Amino acid sequence: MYYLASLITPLLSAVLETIDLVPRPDTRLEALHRFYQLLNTIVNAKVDSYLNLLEVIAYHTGQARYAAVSILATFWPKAVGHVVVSKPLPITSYSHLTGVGTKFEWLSDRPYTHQFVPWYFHNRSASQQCEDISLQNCRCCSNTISGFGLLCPFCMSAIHLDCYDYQEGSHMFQYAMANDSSRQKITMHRFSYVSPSRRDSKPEIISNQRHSFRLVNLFGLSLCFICRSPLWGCIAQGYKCSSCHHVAHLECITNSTATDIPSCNSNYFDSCHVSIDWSVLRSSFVNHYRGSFFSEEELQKRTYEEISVFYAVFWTQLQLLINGLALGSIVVSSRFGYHTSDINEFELHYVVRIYEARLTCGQLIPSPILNEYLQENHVITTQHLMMFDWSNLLYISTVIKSPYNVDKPSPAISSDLLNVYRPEVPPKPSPDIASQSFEVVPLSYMRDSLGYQLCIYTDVAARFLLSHLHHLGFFNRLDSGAILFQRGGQDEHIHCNFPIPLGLDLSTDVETLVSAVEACLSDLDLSINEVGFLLLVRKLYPDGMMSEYALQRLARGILSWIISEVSSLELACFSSLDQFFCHAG
Amino acid sequence: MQDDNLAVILRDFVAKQQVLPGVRSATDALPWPSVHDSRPALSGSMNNGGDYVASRRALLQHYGLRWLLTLHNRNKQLYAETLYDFCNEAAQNGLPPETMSSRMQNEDFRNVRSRSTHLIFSDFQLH
Repeated sequence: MYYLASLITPLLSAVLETIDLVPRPDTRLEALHRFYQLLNTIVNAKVDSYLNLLEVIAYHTGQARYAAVSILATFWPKAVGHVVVSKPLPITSYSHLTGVGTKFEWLSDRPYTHQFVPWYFHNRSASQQCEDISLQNCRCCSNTISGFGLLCPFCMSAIHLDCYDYQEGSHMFQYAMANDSSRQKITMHRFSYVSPSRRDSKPEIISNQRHSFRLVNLFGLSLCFICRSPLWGCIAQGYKCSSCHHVAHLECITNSTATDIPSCNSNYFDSCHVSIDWSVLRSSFVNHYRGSFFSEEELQKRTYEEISVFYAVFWTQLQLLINGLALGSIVVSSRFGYHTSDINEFELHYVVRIYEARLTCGQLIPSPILNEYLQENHVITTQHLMMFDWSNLLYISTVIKSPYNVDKPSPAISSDLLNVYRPEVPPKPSPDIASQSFEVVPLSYMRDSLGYQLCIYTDVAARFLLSHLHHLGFFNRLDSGAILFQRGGQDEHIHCNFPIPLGLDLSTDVETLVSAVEACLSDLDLSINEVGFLLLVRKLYPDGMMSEYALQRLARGILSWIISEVSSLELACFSSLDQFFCHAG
Repeated sequence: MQDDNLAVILRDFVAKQQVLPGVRSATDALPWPSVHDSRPALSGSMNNGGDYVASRRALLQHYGLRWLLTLHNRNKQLYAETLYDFCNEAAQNGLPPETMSSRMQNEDFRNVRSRSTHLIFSDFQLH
């Protein structure tokens, strides 16, 4: 099997150097058909075939590189990302080429499609700004984003919610008041569709009563138009009909009878579909998050990582509630009337304050693994938001795919005890523990890794964190499922892979990744340049854990790309500067 | 190694009125939000390489400067050393083969020169 696998890269490079994937009038379709058959066989049989494509990108000709990048972007779009500046890459699929099978109009017309997620843009003090400042600039208005905003993790574009007038992500419609049909009100939905796992596949669409429902991320709390309950959650809260734009729970769509679901565009919508009583809102929230509440005593036992996860989830949920009230997608009623802005606080507000106080008290001690990251990056724990720090999330992804030693107990992390630590004895190397990161692991392994290495002992916190990482594209389900955890499913047997290595991986493939970035930046084609930059920003983000050699090498790649526009006059300028600094000592 | 430089662009593509590699054309979909400093090349009409340079500028703004700024914020010493060593080597040994000396429009020349000079001096002023 090893010898067979070693043939893949030379085979792909030989084919991609000779075959033209862009259809032309003289293109032989049968040759392309055989090529795509071979490609699909390789991708289906070898789960890490993206590594072979990465080698072609890094070490082979420009034509082969262009084809390999296109294939990578077609089969693993969430690992590569999508371009926003340059010309979109072609979709490398035979059915797309010939138009046979599924319809691709919506795909081929939207190559720059974003998948925005709610994000916390945290402004630290000037002395603690290890975060990329420019990441917090809104791509629309260029002003700094502070607090709640939107991030597309597949192109690293950040947007203010108020600047989000994306036509595919905003919809405003009128509705009549139930008790007075002459009074009209307006509600606004701001959302982002969840992209499919492959560029050549159409998204999952659920049809019911002439509705066409697609999975969405909602940026304002909304009510399900079937059961009238809130769509709680921070990501992938529900499904939206692309025709009438109403949203619903997946369970309501699949379990309701035909009489429960109003037909699409049947003008049934009124204020009853937007309003909810405050007490019902409160009980609905408690019911949805019942596994995340702890007593005072239990809260004291929660680790720094668990508190970080819970704070991120509840802070985001509170922001979505505030956004929903402001946008009119939810109206809270009480005995005092209807409220579209300030409402009486309930458990959501309380837990946000509790977790924020716990996180900033300075008494929580991170796990040794996370503490190493924080120290190398000079980050203060009380000012750190683990769930919204891209390089931290890269590090966590590296940790959960790496081997670990279960025999080594985690040191006590409570600051209430006077702990005396003995000098650590280096563990004896075990021949059973692999030294390289894994490419495919079951969810149960990732869950256990979070517990052993990052001290995340609560199942609920682990699910939140893993769902967050999956949604941001750090790993995929092997079966290409859009949602990581299915209700009632056997989640522990779900296998996931990590397409494209990460800069902190314990793997020789990192060298291939760095070489691929260098090769992309040296290419003439701007689309290839942009893919190189996407890999650089999304997989090789500057981090204190990275070696100086790697950082220097990547920086030199960027500088070479910049300087390639410089004329010979700049050479003379640099020479003069060199002489100046030499004389200045 | 192929000549990946602007001179090749000007000679092989602009002169022959071929489609610039990787430059978004007017027939392509429009990204959201639109990037203010990049413009799509007009399909079938004369292009002068400025579209290519403008797109490169947008790539630098969106990705390159971010990455370098983050490296600078995390490790100023390493950033300054890397930048200085690169420029010093380029001055002593000449630019890598993929770089070039070209005839550029005066406005582009001034913009690139001011940007590259700022890269050098902004850091040494801190020390």
